[in-house]
Amino acid sequence: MKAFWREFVRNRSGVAGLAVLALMVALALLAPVLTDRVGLDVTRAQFPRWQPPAADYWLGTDHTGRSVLLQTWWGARVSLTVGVAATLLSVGVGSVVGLAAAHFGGWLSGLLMRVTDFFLALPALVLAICLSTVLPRGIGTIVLAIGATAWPATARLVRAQTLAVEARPYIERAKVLGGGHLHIIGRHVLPGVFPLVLVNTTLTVASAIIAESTLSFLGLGDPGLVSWGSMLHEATLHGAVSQGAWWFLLPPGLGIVLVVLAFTLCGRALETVLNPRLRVS
Amino acid sequence: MTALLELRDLSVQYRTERGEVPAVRGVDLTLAAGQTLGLAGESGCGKSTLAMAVLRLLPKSARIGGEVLLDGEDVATMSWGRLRAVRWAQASVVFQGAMHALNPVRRIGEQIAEPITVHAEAGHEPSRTVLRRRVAELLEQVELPASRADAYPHELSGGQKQRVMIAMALACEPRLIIADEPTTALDVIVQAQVLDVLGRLVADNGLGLMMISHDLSVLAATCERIAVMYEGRIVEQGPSRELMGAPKHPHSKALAAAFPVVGDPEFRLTPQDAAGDGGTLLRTEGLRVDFPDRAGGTTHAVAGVDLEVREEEIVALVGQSGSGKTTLARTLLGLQQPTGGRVLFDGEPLPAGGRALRAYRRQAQLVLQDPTSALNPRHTVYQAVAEGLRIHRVPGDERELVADALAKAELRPPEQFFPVLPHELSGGQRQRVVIAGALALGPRLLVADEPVASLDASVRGEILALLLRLRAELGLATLVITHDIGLAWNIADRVAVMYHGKLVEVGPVEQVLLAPTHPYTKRLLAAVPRGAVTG
Amino acid sequence: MTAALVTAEEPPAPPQGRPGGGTLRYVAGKLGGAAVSLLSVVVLGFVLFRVVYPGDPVLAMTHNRPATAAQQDELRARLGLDRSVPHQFLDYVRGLLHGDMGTSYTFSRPVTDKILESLGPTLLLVGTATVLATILGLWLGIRGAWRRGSRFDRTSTGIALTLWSAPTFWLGMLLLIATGQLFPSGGIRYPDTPPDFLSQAVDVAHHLVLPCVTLIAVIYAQYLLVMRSSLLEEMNADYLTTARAKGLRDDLVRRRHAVPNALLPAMTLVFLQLGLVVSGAITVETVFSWPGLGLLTYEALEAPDLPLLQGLLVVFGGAVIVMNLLADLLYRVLDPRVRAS
Repeated sequence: MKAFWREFVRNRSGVAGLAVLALMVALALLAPVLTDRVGLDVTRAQFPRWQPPAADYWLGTDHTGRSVLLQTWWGARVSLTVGVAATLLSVGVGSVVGLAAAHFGGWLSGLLMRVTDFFLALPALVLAICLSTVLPRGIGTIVLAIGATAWPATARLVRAQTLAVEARPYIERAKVLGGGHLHIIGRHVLPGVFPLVLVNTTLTVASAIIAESTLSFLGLGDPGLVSWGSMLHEATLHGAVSQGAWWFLLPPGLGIVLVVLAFTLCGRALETVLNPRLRVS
Repeated sequence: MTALLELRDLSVQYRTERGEVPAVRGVDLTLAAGQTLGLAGESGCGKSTLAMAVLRLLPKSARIGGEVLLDGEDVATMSWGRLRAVRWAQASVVFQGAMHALNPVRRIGEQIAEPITVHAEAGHEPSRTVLRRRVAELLEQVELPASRADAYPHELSGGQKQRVMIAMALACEPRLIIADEPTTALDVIVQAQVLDVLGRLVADNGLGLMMISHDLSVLAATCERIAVMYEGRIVEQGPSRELMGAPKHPHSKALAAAFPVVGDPEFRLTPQDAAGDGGTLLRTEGLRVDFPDRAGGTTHAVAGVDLEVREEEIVALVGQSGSGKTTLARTLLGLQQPTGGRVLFDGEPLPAGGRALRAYRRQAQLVLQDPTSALNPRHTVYQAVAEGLRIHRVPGDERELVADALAKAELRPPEQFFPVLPHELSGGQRQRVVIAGALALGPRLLVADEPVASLDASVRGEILALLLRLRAELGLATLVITHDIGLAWNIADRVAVMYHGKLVEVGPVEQVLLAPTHPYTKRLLAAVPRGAVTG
Repeated sequence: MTAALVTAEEPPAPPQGRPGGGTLRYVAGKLGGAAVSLLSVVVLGFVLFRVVYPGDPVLAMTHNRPATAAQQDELRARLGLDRSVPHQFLDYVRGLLHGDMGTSYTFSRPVTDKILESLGPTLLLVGTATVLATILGLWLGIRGAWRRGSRFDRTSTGIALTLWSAPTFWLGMLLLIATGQLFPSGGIRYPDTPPDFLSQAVDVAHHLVLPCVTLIAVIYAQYLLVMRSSLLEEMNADYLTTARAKGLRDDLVRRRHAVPNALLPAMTLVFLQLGLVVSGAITVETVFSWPGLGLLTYEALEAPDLPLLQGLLVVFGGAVIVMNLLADLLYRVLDPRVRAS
């Protein structure tokens, strides 16, 4: 663990990513403490509409006169929550499917991989759009739609890694020692697959956050919540581009870029640390 | 006359995260035109680095000191252009593991012809037909049909690929060939053929040859002189016969001992009549294992085997890769279900699964070929040895049992090894941990699949001695599976020769190895380098 | 790439040239697989929009036009919605085979016609962007891998990752604001452009610039990263040492041995990443009002126009399945190792 950390710290972009993430998560958690939710309510907007940044509203105001800063701040909570929840769902499903397909083999494996490949081939966004159209609007649907489209990649990865681990002679040794399925999976396969799943999780959160913003931008988000995607949706809907209201567009977009990039950098740093072949000598 | 190749005080250091690591430390070597020199040593002794240094093929992290003179010209001072001109035209390399040394997606004909085009003078590039003819000629020299020029590397067998490497090395008619482990990973019989081709071509063309190998007997069969390398230095050098017959340096002795002369009583480590006359422990009756093959047919990996292992007996199962010996071993341990016939342990048929099979696993244990991959890299020595104890919920104090098993495998003091991870151990120590893990369950039979094949020569003797001692002290019966006839001569009481899924000859070691009756056994013995069967 | 899971005991693959029979069987197998996948998409679409969808499609249709119960029933009968679900499915498949995907609620026109109209602009946009992004990504990837860790490598990877982290539509909006009046803000051509081919082409190209640049910016990173890691993997290969030992110049080693071999996996991935391009196209077309399938999807979302969405799912899914099939076949042509196994 210590060696792992030492190796991780050497990767500067990874550390930067981690720092940004820590800051973002802290801010998101502290939003209810540091700000007042009331400012998000359209009917209680306090400021003039379409105002560029000023002392009272650091990041300007939107078409209803609400503070963009406040919305961005609260939007982080929704975007992060959806990203993490969807990832947990997809990584969970993907890991179980991949593990089962690799470990048990036979017709079950064939069937599971067929289904996985099918979903892997479908354009994820199109499927997510269809799912969020036919299911009731809400944050749960968004999580489900993203999770349901992101799991096949994890399944493939976990299956490949499980196969690689199970081809190792120490699995044969464990079998000869008398180990059953539970022993092999619990003591050897899972610990061997875990690092890769961790990397994959980090990278999946990144794409899940982008997916959330895209779905919300297309108007499929939870109407009762402010997320970075829904802010951009509102901005387009009310002509922020033609108004030249860059202050309404920049903050949510930069938020997405920052978080996604931070997750990606962390993931790549983890990958480098955990996969010695990628390490620069 | 200047020497073909002269190394003067050559040293190579690698810059790594842990600072500079020396690989070669002050080597002086001379090779005159037409001479053959063997460079022997264990993995990590610096012999491959030395070979790569000759053509300046080392990675950028390597720092080279001293001089490498090719035909009197220092390689280090050559310009890039001059160096490229010298590469392959003056000295070429037959790389280790032709599998990876050939570009997988280009036809071998193109790859053989490539250096010819590269080294042709500008404007005088040979035409396609000339090239084709030359490639055909080269392939013929290594005894491959010219039609193979259109094949891709994966379509060739290991021996054929190595021949292609040799043909490629001859393409520009160099005066020096450096062969780096040219026959490692090949079967004894194929190895003999490849060495034969290489030796003939070198002699016919009067080439200089520097051959690198961990296998002294291979070098002795091809080279006039042998230099033994150890920790980056040449520790002994001399004519092959002398060095093989009477090695002086302790390391040369260990290397020589690793390639025993079959028939020489000095290499027979097992005492006469050590086997005792216990009852039958394990018996197979008409055992068959079939696999479906790609074409939809059936491969008979094990085709009707009757084998017997008695109590306290060491039996060697000898065969080439593909003979079915590993499948047989897996079936004996219940890892593979037989298609036909049966396995009897202590007179009882082997259970197919469930609790009974698990109980059988306490009786018969496995020692794998490569201890590095046989141990989970994340588990400490303690965890690895205790794994079986925990699975079987063996009663008693776990620490004591683990310590006891480690002590039996001669890892002393055992407590010191508890928290150690496999990568902190040497190869021999790792194999001892694997053996300790097996011993912890108190088995009566050990199936050892190539137990020393991936270990360095100097460790080989220790592990063999351990197996013999386990038999003497614990009464352990052992089935050793190996491609190495010398190993059978070293320790086995009886030997079974396997060929195409069948046992072609079974009997006491002295009888089978000294007076073989089956033609395959005879061929196998003849192919062993320097395999003059005395006695 | 190919994991060697064969045990050491296996004899080497018999050196036999497989005649055409193997290829034929391979192609047939792949075609069969693609057909099954396509059918699965059709089933999936049907299940999602006809079974899972909680609302009444007729109500969704008549949303803006109050209708009597009798009118609704008549509509239901006309659409075949009064029949059993399996029956409806058979009707749907029968229609599909005749190129009939039903009628769009919002446009009151056949879904097939709407999709065919929008196909051209999307192909133009996605095709141009994919070709340019592939060239850009592969070139940068090769240069980055060859000079690994250099300033060039770090900068180009950094920029690519940052752009990849940005939502496509957001980049598009920023570009729109940043370029001001330089490029048209939407659509595919001005209504007042002269009808001759040259003027029309220039006008379309002018409109194409911004959406195309946006799409490239987001997707080229994938190609770069894939090519870079593929080449890095290949650069450890022993045969490159062989090539160097043969006296080849460094750039020749790269051009002749390393890059072609690394291109194989990279090219397949380019095809497999098509789903990503499709996703990008949906939002880019929405931002720039580019009259393609993406914009059509966005428009269909508002009602929601179920038959149209269902048709779009089939078309998008089908496109990716066909591209994957092509990638498989192409890979087989290019890589002799795959041909043998």
